[in-house]
Parts: sequence; structure tokens; C-alpha cells
Amino acid sequence: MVAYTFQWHVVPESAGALAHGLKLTLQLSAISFVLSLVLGLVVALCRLAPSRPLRALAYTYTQVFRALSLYVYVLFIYFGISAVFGINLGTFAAGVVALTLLNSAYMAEIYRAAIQSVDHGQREAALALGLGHTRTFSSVTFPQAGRVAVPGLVNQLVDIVKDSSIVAVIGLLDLMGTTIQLVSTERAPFELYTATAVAYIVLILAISAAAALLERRLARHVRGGGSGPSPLERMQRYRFGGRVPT
Amino acid sequence: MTNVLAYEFAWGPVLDRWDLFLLGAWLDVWVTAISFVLACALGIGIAVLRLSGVRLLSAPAFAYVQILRGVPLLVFLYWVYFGVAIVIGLNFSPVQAGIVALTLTGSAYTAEIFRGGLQALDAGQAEASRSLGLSRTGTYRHVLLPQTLRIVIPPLGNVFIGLLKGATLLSIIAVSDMVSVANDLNINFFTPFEAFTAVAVILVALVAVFSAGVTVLERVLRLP
Amino acid sequence: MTEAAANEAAELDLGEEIVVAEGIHKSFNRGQKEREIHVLRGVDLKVAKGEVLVVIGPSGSGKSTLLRCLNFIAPPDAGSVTFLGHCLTGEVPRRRPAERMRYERDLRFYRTHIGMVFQHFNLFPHMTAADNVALGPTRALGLTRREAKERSLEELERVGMGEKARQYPSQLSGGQKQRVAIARALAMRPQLMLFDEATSALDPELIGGILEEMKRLAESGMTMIVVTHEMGFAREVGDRVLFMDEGVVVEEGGARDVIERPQNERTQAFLSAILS
Ligand SMILES: Nc1ncnc2c1ncn2[C@@H]1O[C@H](COP(=O)(O)OP(=O)(O)OP(=O)(O)O)[C@@H](O)[C@H]1O
Ligand SMILES: [Mg+2]
Repeated sequence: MVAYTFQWHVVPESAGALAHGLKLTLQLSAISFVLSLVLGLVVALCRLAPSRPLRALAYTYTQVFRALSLYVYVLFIYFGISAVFGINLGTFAAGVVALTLLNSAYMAEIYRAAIQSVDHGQREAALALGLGHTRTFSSVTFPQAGRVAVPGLVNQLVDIVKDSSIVAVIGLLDLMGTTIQLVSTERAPFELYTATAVAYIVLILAISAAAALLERRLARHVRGGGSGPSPLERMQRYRFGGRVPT
Repeated sequence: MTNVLAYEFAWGPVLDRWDLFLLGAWLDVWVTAISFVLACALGIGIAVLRLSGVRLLSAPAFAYVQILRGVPLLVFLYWVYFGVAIVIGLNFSPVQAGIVALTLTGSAYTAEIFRGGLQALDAGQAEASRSLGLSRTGTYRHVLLPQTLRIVIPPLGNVFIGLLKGATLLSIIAVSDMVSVANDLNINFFTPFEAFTAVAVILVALVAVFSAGVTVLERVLRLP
Repeated sequence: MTEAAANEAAELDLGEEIVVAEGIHKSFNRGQKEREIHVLRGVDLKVAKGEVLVVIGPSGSGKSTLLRCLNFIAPPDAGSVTFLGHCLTGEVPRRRPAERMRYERDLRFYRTHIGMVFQHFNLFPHMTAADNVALGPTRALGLTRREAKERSLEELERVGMGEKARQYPSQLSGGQKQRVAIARALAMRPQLMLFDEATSALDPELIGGILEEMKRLAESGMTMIVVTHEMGFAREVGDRVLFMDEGVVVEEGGARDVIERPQNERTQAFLSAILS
């Protein structure tokens, strides 16, 4: 066996390109996350709406878009749908659409569970005070449900960041795509993929740390500064949630 | 429909190759099954380490779970197949690399599931068993594991399905699974919509079948 | 305990004492500065054959821990437990495999011959009542399935649960669960029974039935150590009472004497609080 000589110098040399890829990963994730947050809420509200067809439609949406993996959606949207409608979606747009459809379906379920977890008495009390349905939802139900939903939604963000690497398959030069390209020229796959893996880990750690902080902010209003779980425990909750690999 | 859209639907090439699609799907299934079994075995071991109460064992187990959950499967797959292979001078076949990546990633999830399952049990269960004179292994086998099993089956079912979805990524490293069949069709006949629809249909069917299987298993094991 | 002392104790007991515990110490979270608590601080105890010893004391005084030390579910840190002529300390011989095996065998001897009933029943939820009772006989005593089944039904019958043999714990009431738990312990044909607040988790109307069951067991000649807050039971069924506080035995004596004329201040305070 020939001993392998590590070429770690490749990593700092490629830092510029990798940073550019990372920027694209962040943009892709952030846009998809925000769109999913909004779309997911709309779907959740439809699922809880009085209208039957609307409920059925929303239900179908959540089932269909949670059924497959992001990889399949990306291929389907980038090649299949583009061909059928004769439009040329760029890789970035295809990635956003795929990530948003998939994750909004997951988020809809998170919102729904959170909304349903709010005590019925809260709603009734607000209605009894003469608040309308919309007002009741926006100022009583939703703020409470939001708090419950935060951990789940953050886990979606973690999933989005991880899943977004798959868009590299159709040629987007995000962090992963850039790495693949660099490997073909630099011939240092171990060093480059290790660096990229570390970058993803750090990114996701940062998200969970931020989320733990956010949760403490939100909890302060409710519990009056009680001790609760430690920051580390709270952070772990985020890392441990989320979907199984895709 | 064809009048409105420029696209000419052509299902022929897909339908002619139904056997290739099924063969590809079969490959996805058995790769998933092997990885799942290995991930469970590994996961139990890591869970036991995490619960050992010995810092020197539980800390690395914790780090293992954290790190593997932070790496996207695709990145991990490339790291194993291209990176590690070169460093240790070993040529993985694509399927082997896929199984390694799926197993290790999966084990980070199963470890947490088993840990939760074991922790959820009341300490009184082990005490009662030991007070009856059962050995440590007997206590695990007859009292703790049967109860843990009931707790972990639904989440393990999710891991299985997650791994199945993950297995479709293997086409990227030239494993001839069902997605690679679709890719070939797309290139040769330019029928992307039909080809990927076929993949979607098969995958949905598989997920539905395995979900149903988990539900049945759960029902069989459910206690009154 | 030195060897000579052990021999002496064994001679003295000869058929008399079933269990002798000497100088039992137990701490939890040892070596973790802040969290370490010294629960038992040198407890001695003797129970003769056929005797019923009632252990009382405030919450957290270490009563449950004491029972757990006797059958080594929580091995004592120091001190020894002599049971039917075997003497065990909490020290696990880690080095030599042969010694280790003898230790394991002794542990098994203690556990198979000492029955234990828990406050929260601790029935196995994935087994029927009959299987709960049969588990010990098959897996620890080596009875065949059929023998164990017979014995299990017999014991369930004895506590009036014959009809519930095929029910799962979740289908039983608290009182019924505790009866099954008693049958489970008795199916091992133990020489000593430990009851750890067996009625504390029960609804008031169910307590009487379980106490009745325990009384019947005592009358049949079973040696028992009973942790309880039921003073009526202690006075009527108990032969001796042992009052514990903060990990030490504060007072010990005949059941009536201790309950009606406690000598120690702490015993008096505890009893007047519990009886009022
Ligand atoms: N496994 C354990 N780990 C840490 N501390 C323990 C453990 N078991 C018991 N303790 C502590 O030991 C002390 C004595 O507990 P024990 O259960 O023996 O008291 P008790 O007299 O039975 O009380 P109660 O009447 O409430 O049952 C308590 O302070 C308890 O918190
Ligand atoms: Mg107790």
C-alpha cells in the first residue's frame, strides 16, 4: 500500500471559491426557508379551514410533497417540468422550487400540530371577549402556537441547509457543487470533501445555537425567567430533530 | 394536451423498460435493507455507550451522533467514495460506498432512537426483574428490550424510509438503481417527465408499502 | 466483617435469624462532590424466622434504599448482609473470574430467595399477569414452562386473581396489580419478603385488601420486612418496629412498645405527625 500524502494546502488555496459556494448555499437556503415558512402557514391554515375541498387540497399537498426525496423533486422539476412547459428554469430557481415545495409540506404539519396544541379555552376566552375570528387567531392562537412550532421549524432550516447540497447534482455551484468542481481540477478529494463536511457541520451548529438563543428569548415572556433546560440541552434538541437523511 | 404544450408525451420508452426500473428499485431496496440492519446494530452499540455513564465512552458517542447528523448525505457519500477511498488506498465499489455512507448516517439516527427507547423505561422494570433473580442479560432480553422494541419501531420505520430515499442518491456515483435508469432514458430519448414520473411512482409505492408494513407491525405488537 | 465475626454470627443465628445486616452504608452519586448523598449511615438489622419487622420513618430517610441493599439491587458501599448462612458485602470481586462467578451465584441466591413488592408494582406491561408471575420461575429457577405456568396460576389463585391470569397489567386496577405483584414474588417460594410501601400508591378503598393479604401471609409464617405508613397494620401484624431517620436506626423495639410508647424524641415527633 502506498502511503497517502495529504495535501491540506489545497483547502486554503480554494478558500475563495468555497466561500463563494457557501454564499450561494446560504442564499438558496434562506430564500427557500422564508418561502416555506409562508407557504407552509398558508397550507396549514387551509388544512384547518372550514371548507372541505380546501382541507382535502391542503391534505393532498402535504402528503404528495412529503412522499419523495428532494433528489427526485430536483430532477423532476429541473428536467421533467421544464421540458413539459418548455421553460428553462435555472438550477438555482429549480432548487428553490424543490426545497420550498418539500419543506413547506413538512412545515404545514408542524404549524398544524402547534395550532392544535393551543388550549381550546384560549380561543373561547378570546371569542368571548368579542374578538373576531381573525383577531383571535392573530393575537391569541398564533403567538402561542408559534412558540411551540419554533423548534420544529428550525429543524426544517437545518434540513434545508443539508438538503440544498443536492442541488449540486444539477450543476449549481453552491458549496457542494463548488467542491465537486474543485476536486476535478485539484485532485484532493479527501481534503476538500472533509473541509466541506466541516463547513456544513459548523453552519448547522451555528443555526442550532442561534435557535437555542431565540427559544430562550421567547420563553422569557412565558415562564418569567425560570431555569428550564440548559442552553446546551436546548441546542441538542435542534440537532436531534429533523428528518432522517435524504 | 400535446397541442397546448410543446412537449410530446412519449410513454413508450418507459413502459418498454419497466423491468429495468423494477430491477433498479430492487437494488435500492436491498441496499437500504442491508444499511438499515447494520445501522440498527451500530446504533444499539452507540446508544449503550452513550448511556454507559462513563465519560470516556459517552462523549465520543455523543460527538459521533452530532457530527454525522450535521453532514449532508451527499457530502458524506462523496467523502467516502472519493475521499476516504484514496486515503486508505482501497477501491470501494459504488454500492459498497453507498452502504457505508447510509449505514453510518443511519446509525446516528438509530442511536438516538434506541437511547430514547431505553431511557423511556421506568427504572423499576429492571429492578423488579433483578429482584426476581434474572441475570443482566436475562433482564435485557425478557424485560427491557421487548418494551424498547415497541417504543422504537415507529421512528425506526421513519429511518428506513429515510434511508430508502437516501439510497436513490447512489445513482450519482454510478450505481445502476432506478434513478440511473431514468437518467439514461432522459439522455437517450429525451423523455425526462415520463422517466422521472416512473421513479416517483415507484418510490411512492415503496414508501406506502413500507409505511403500511410498519403500521401492521405496530398493531401486532400493540399491548391492550 | 472479619472472618471470625462472620463465623460467630453464623453460629449465633443457626436457624434463628434469616437475615442479618451489619454496618450498612450507602451513598448515591459517589465521587460527584455536590451531588453525593450519604443515604444510609451504618444500619444494623436482624430478622428471625417467621418474624415481621416493620420499618417506619420520614420520607427520604433511606427505607427503600435499605430494602434495596438487602437484596443487592443497590449494593451497599460498606457492611455486610448475611442471608441464610451466606455472607455478602457490596464489594464486587472484579479480578478473578472464579470469584466473580461465585459472587454472581450468591447474588442470584439472594434474589431468588428474597421476594420484593414495590410501591408502584413494577409489573411488566408487555406480559399477561400469568406470564409476569411465571417469568422468575422459568428464567431464574429453571422450571419448565408448564411447571411455571401451573405455579403461576396457583399463586394467582391464592391472591384471588385466578380469573385475571390472562389480562395485561394495563387492564387491571391498582389493587389487582399489587396482588399480581405479590403473587409474582411468592411464586419464587421466597424465604423472606420485602414490602416497600406496597399500599402507598393505592386508592384508599383498595388498601385494606392488600393489607389483609399481607396479614394472611404473615400468619402463614412468612418472614417479612415491611416499609409502611399504616400504623394500624404495624401494631397488629408487626412483631418489631424499626424507626429510621436520616440514614440511621433511631429506635427499635416491640411493635406496640415503639408505636404506643416511643422513647426517642424524633420517633415521638414522627408518630404524632403521622397519627394526627
Ligand atoms: N438512585 C438514586 N440516585 C440518587 N439518589 C437516590 C437514589 N435513590 C434514592 N436516592 C436518594 O436517597 C434518599 C433516600 O431515599 P429512599 O428512597 O431510600 O427514602 P425513603 O425513606 O424510602 O423515602 P420515601 O418514604 O419517600 O419512599 C433520598 O434523598 C433520595 O433522593
Ligand atoms: Mg421509599
